[in-house]
Amino acid sequence: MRDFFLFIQRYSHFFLFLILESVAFYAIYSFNNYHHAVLLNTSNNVNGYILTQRSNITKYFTLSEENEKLQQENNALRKQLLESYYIDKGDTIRNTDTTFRQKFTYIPGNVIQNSTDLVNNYITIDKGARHGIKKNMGVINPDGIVGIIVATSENFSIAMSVLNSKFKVTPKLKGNTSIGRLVWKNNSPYYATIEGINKFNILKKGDIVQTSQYSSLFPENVMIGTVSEVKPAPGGSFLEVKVKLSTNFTNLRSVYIINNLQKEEIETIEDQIINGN
Amino acid sequence: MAISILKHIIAFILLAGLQVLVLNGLDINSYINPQVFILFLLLLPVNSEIWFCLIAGFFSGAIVDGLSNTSGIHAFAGTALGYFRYFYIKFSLDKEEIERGMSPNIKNMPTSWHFFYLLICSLIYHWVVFFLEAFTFTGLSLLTLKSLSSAIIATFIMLLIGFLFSRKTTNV
Repeated sequence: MRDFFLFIQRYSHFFLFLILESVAFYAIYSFNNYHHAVLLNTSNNVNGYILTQRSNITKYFTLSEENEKLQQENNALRKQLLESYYIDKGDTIRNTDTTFRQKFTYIPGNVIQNSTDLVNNYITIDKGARHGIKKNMGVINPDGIVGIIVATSENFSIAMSVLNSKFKVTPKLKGNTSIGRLVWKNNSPYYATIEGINKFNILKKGDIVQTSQYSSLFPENVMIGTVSEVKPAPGGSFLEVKVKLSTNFTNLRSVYIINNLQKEEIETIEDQIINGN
Repeated sequence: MAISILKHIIAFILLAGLQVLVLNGLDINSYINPQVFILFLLLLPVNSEIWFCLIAGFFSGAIVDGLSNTSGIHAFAGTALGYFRYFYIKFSLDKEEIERGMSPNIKNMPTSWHFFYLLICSLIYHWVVFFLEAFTFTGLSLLTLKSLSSAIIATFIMLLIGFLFSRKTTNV
């Protein structure tokens, strides 16, 4: 027994090393599980405050670019106003508001922390549960999709960006009915890959990639990017399509968080079917 | 003694701030991702007890983890670096030099020793961080290239910081 204690005492530093490493490894392990994304820390108030202060300074550097983006967006929205149309019929039939029901609402937010050079990139946004943000909401900006909310606190929330090995969305190619899945293979912040598209499909460079109607997170036809390279996936009947992302992740400022008003209803029905069997 | 501890704590706060607020925000590209806050760990006095190096490595890594959404990766690598550093110093310095207990900074040490100390330690640190981040054995050569380029940049930034602060402070 005495020898045993001597042994422990002699190699105590090695045991301390092992204990600390296993604590750290446990943290990494539980973090890799999607449901432990709550461990994400930059959404808490102290970290959030520091990052907001930094963002307040750095956002001036891209001010002119942001202005231009907002102008373009305003321009696009103005085109959709009723005032921009003229009535082309003798007897006026106008759409009353009851025809259209609001499906998506948008919550504007600012990115206060962002990375593009890690394998799993996350974005911290300065709006949280207090502003109506919940887990699993889509995030877009005027250029295209940005990510999905994975954790929220009172005033801040964290979104998994497209540049994350766990991110998946079902894209749609314009003029093509087949669907695949969009993944990011941690190569470059400007490109993502679509997998699972059958070889029969003819795709060419410059084809537009948008979100499909199958996702309850994003409205249909939100821009994802354009096809930049098509090649057969190794050992299979599928294509590997490289997509140039339309969102510039290296320079992300203002974003919109999407609230799908029908999401709960859809999920209730889906739950009924899954649990009913 | 107390002043020396305070200096190390202030150095850590400044380095962690530089790391999280400036360097992590640069996003140059995926090959250059320098982790500079480890300079705090590398500049601990050469006669520091090993348990102290391990705990300092763990907690400094954990703090940076918390600020940059990487859970335990830096805590793991920091602990590993604390352990490695102890043996590197033990095998590359004389016993008398270690007993004098100064900080192995650019002023107290020969420049070439200091340079290789920073380079090798930061290479190991970056390799561990990138490996844990990718968490796969595929693409190890790419990972090594990535850690080499990041470690070289990190070493130059650390040398630069060393030159900047070596005049005023005497024993940090």
